[in-house]
Amino acid sequence: VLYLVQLAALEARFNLNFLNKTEATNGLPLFFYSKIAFVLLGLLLLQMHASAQSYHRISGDFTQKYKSTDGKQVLIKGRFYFDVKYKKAVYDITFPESQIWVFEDTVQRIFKGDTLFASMPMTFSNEFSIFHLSLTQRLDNYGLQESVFHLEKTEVQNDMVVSYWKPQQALSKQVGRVVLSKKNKQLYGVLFYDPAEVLIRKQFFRNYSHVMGINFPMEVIDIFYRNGNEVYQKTEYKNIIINEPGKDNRYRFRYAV
Amino acid sequence: MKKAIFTFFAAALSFNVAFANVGEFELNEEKLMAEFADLDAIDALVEEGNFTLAQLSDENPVMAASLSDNPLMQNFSIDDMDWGSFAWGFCCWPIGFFVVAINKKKDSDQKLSFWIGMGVSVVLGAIGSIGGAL
Repeated sequence: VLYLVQLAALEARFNLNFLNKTEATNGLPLFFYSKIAFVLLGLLLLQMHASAQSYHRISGDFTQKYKSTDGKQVLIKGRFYFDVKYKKAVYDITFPESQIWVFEDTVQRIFKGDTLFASMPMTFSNEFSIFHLSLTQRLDNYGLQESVFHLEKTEVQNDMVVSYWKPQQALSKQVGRVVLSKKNKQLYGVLFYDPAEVLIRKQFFRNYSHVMGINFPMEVIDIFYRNGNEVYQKTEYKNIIINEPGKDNRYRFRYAV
Repeated sequence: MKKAIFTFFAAALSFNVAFANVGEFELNEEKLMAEFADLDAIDALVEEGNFTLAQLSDENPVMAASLSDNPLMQNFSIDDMDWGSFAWGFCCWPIGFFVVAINKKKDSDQKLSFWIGMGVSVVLGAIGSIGGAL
């Protein structure tokens, strides 16, 4: 198709007859082909534009800070890699020590060099990670629209739009409500409740940066409520890159278990 | 009449639940800054020197001592122990393996509790056997 479009465009431009058409054989004047060529070219450009808008990879530097349950302070620094195709969150950790953390399916694995050092089950899904939600442009509603939750109601509170999400009836004994707030059409806060309507976690997304068509929050604050205490966690991002070519050894991170 | 009263209270309850979140989205910036003041200072030092924890220990041992050396492994504490799962591992791990370890409905803390229970059982069993043999 591209070849024909190019030929037709050249014909139109230089008044040539590569396609060997005559008034007698096809009965159409040359300018008709030039119009087809322009339409096809337009379609081609539209397709290229659409593919340029599909986001599949994200990477960036991150720093996470919190106080662990044993009273120690935790500082983690490194770079994360995420590819929608592989749905693996790979963290190239530089602090406290050089390690690779791979979060995939229901398992989190720690590698030291090429050696698997530890693996543990994980309870969250990469489908709902900030990386996946940003790339699929579903962060504004936290991906809840296509989940087991349904929208209960929406209201305006000062400069925020607050929406209330309820789990499906079948899950109402395991999962509680989720309340989202948006500021300037961007996700700002998320409140997580247990089935008994007790607040168990707050999450705030701030300092959005527009990177290659994606709005990504450069700061995420988590507040966990455990045994009557508030546990704060702060995650900061910088140097975000979208659709980075190469570096398959990080985005894919193959390993033998 | 009973129905009307029930409907009234149900509506009142749902009203309370629905509007319980006013103000929940406010962040206490001062508390936030105080919470992370120490870690922000350490982070600045690490960023500047491009240190690992071992290198930071040489540079500033006091600062390094306040940090966890393996954060991902320390996410589990005794508070997170699920004693039911622990009991499955400790008392009857062959059945517990199916009830807890490979049960998709169990969370990571419950599964870890099972393995800890099983580990404790094995260690105590081994100590008992050695003691008996002596």
